[in-house]
Amino acid sequence: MARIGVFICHCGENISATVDCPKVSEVAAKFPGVAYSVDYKYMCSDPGQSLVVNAIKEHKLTGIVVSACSPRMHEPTFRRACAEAGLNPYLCEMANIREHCSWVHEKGDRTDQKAIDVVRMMVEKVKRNNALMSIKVPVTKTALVIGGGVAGIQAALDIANAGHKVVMVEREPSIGGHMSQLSETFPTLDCSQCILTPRMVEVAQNPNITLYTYAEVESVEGFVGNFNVKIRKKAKSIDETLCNGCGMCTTKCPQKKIPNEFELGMGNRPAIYVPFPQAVPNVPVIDRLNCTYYKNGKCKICEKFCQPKAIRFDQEDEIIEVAVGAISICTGFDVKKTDFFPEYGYGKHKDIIDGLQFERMASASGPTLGAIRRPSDGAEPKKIVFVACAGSRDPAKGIEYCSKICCMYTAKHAILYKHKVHDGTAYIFYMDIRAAGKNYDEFTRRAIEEDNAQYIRGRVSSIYERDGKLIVIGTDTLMNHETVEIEADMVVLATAGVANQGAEELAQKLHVSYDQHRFFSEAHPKLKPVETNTAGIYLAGACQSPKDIPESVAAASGVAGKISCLFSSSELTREPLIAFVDRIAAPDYSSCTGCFLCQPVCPYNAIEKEDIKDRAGNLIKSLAYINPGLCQGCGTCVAICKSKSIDIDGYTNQQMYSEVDALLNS
Amino acid sequence: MEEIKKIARELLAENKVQVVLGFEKGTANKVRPAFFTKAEDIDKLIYNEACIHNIALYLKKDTCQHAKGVAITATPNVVRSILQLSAENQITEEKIHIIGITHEGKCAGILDFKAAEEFSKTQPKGLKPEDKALIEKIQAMSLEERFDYWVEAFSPCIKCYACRASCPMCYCGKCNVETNNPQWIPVASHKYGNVEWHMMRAMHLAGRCINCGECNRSCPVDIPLNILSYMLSDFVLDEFDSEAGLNSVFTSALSAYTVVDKENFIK
Amino acid sequence: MSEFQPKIVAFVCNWCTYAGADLTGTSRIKYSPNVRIVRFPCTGRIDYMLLTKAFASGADGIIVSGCHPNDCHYTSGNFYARRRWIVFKKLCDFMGIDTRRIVFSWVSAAEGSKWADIVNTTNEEIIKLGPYDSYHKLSTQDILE
Repeated sequence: MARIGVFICHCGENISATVDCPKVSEVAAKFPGVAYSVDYKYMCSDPGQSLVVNAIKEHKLTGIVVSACSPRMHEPTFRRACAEAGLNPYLCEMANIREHCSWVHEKGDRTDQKAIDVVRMMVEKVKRNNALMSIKVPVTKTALVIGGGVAGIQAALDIANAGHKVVMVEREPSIGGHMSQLSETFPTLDCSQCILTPRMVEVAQNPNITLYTYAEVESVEGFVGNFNVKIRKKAKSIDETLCNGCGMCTTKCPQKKIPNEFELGMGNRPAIYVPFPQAVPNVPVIDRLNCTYYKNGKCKICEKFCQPKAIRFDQEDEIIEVAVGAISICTGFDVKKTDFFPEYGYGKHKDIIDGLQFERMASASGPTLGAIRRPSDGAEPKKIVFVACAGSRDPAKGIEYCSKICCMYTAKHAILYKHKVHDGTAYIFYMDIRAAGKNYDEFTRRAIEEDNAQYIRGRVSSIYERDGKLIVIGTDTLMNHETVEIEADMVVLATAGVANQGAEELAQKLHVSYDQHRFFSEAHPKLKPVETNTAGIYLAGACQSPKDIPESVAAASGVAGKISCLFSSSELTREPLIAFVDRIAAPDYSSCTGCFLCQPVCPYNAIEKEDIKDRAGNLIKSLAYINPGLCQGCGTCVAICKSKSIDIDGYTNQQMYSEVDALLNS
Repeated sequence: MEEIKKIARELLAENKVQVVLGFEKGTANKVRPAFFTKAEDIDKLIYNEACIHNIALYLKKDTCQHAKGVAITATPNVVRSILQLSAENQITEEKIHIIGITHEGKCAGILDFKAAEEFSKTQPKGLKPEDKALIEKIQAMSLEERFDYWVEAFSPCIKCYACRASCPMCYCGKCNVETNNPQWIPVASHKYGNVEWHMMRAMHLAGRCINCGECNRSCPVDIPLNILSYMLSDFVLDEFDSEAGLNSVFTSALSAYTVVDKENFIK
Repeated sequence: MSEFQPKIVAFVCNWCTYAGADLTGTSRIKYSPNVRIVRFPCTGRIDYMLLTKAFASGADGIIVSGCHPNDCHYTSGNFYARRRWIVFKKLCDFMGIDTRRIVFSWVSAAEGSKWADIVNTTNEEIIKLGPYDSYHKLSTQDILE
């Protein structure tokens, strides 16, 4: 038999000025199951809380209703009071008679009646509350960082420096990501590699970080605090423990004409190669598709010249299993190539390049050693046209969003160009100059005012070749929409930033959601910008949406902070207000029919298949099982379940039904 | 007909299936669903235009559940039911051998699920003109008339649950109506209990009903309850471009959403 | 029945509309006391059977309210709820259940005044429509008929 205590708070006069609290208390005392009812001036004050604690003990209460302010305000307070009195904290409910009653209604019988109804409703609910224990989940204090660009590097270092183990997986032979390809960075024009490479070395040297390059995530199982990850470490054909990075193999390799990916095809590399001189780790890999030995079975010149005897032609892909407690996705972005643009010649004009190619050209370590040269004939371009929003903000191209970084890097390109080609002119076609950020607008002003960049507000309709020149046809919307024709030597397209290759497959492996552009989705656009909706998996950098370096780094540090919080204790405590599937005796095992129509509605992929088997291992029934580590308690599955096999603690069918019942049958 | 028998006989003889689900002659010129477990019994297997029952229902019964392989003589309605049951993880392809029968009563041979999907698409579907007419008639009524129509239509309901028992999609072990804590649906067959029961059933079948009409046919008091789920399946097709019984992998209009679902009624 | 005061039940989600109604309180915006709020974790949790139960138990009007599309605390609960309401509303209309008495709305945690508006306009609308006798009668009058 329930013994419910009702505590009506006056909240000074906040409630009692409008609601007749003594009357409410009097009426509530007569509700079935109510053993004690009292009103008091300030229930949340120390004496008020003592009143609650003593009443629970004295009257052996089995549940309490505190009729006061919003539960969003003081529910934790009164739950603590319950716990102090030895009552399970989840046997406490709040009836909101302040925000939802005294503050919004005029004094009168109808307002009193509402307060009484609200109390009755909560009394009926609390009678059906279950004593709940907070859920404890063990935590493996190792983080997996997927992607070794600047975001991954920052996240890994921050987590490692907080004293936790980190496993970093990078798809390419070296970490560094797109930032290692950049020449200089806006808005300070400091050299990208100069600020990045020390961080890369730190990663390699940090004892808390295990680095797997030329590796990819093969599969992920488990849940927050307890993920099991399989990593495919692709065969580099090198024994990394023996290689001393002398580089003899790369100089002796007879295959030298392979387009260099790091230089975006603007230079060549051998078949055994280190992607760039500052690579971390400084260990070459053999590109088996292009290596003469793998193609023809003969060569092995690298092996001959390798002093530490580190070449392993028979090396196979290795699967490494790691247990981690949290995962940070830092897989970055990609840019559209020039062949995406029919109006600009489908990429067939050699002197039309994309922004990333311009970065390599402007980089002192790039294919032209920092000189701006036309790819077609190596001449210095005297007139250069930059086209901003190439693809971005263009629904016709399927990319409605703003790629965010292009306005700034195009301004930077114009400045860099002017610094290298003093007598040249840079034209920039733009839609809007989006330079929101610290010192960003000043930077674009500098491009215009100091480096004389010619900004033309309009789109470029076509580019074609005539007598070795590129004819750029555009419009100037600020000059009466006049058609502008520029005879350019070179064109740089600030092509749209898009989701990285393989983002979709990775999202599916990790069970995180992604948007229509294949960028990973954050759990909440405002309040959970670095979390995914899968607990324990986080996002940093441009894999979420186009981001510049400071934003990526800030997000990465945010992720590191989140992961450090998660790792701050060996157990994870969670509110137990989660859904569960009923279990009953054999031969039914559950009223769940295993239709799994609930599975797709779960935003957290918490609904799994549980096979009930007999002793011989034969399948009897497949049932839904809700993983308590993943469920966040939205209850969407509860309402979708036709057989009412799913229920959710805190908002059970019984509770909600009796609330409605109590409200109306007064 | 002989072709169906030949296939069924072979399947049983080769022990590919242990049960063939089909029809046999009943009493007084009627037909009745039957389980055939021996090849020699197949002589009794019949199929004619009287065999209209949706026997996909029996795939969830013990005889079929315990067999390793089951063959079923499947009219278009049955095929659609099978596909929907598969989409809802109730049956697996390895176990079911569909002996397809077209709407003209011709044998379409053994269909795997992929072929069954194609088969379903080519067979006539959609509402029958008389059903459509009834829906339109009800829609043309005033709000009060509609309410009275349904209260009146449900009033003879004796809660025998024949509609539920004959529906292949009503496979829940414990039906919502049997939940008593809380008592979602009143047990008694009074007007309120009847309205809520049929409303709940229609909602549960929304986007899942394959329009076989079995519920209506089995109703001893001739309630046109099939119209409710027919109307909803038509609506779900229009609104969400989702149709039950065409796909053997997961589809359910209510377990999905699009950001642009029409919400002109939401303030 | 000039003094008819309808019974209105509001089914709201915890994160947006419940918080929005809290804001109505802290902003001291007045609205009709005829509404009773039932808190759910998410609109996705709200069972349509509770709506018919509310009518059967004597409610004259119902408000269902949650986070705006794309604002759901659980990302997508409100989208599934919306689909369910689209279908449920269609069924109610077809069965002659008065859907003018069911108001669906999105009220965010910042829309305290919108909440007051929704309650007040619903209250006025229901006063105009009168008590929902035809449904109430189902559950009370005819039980032994």
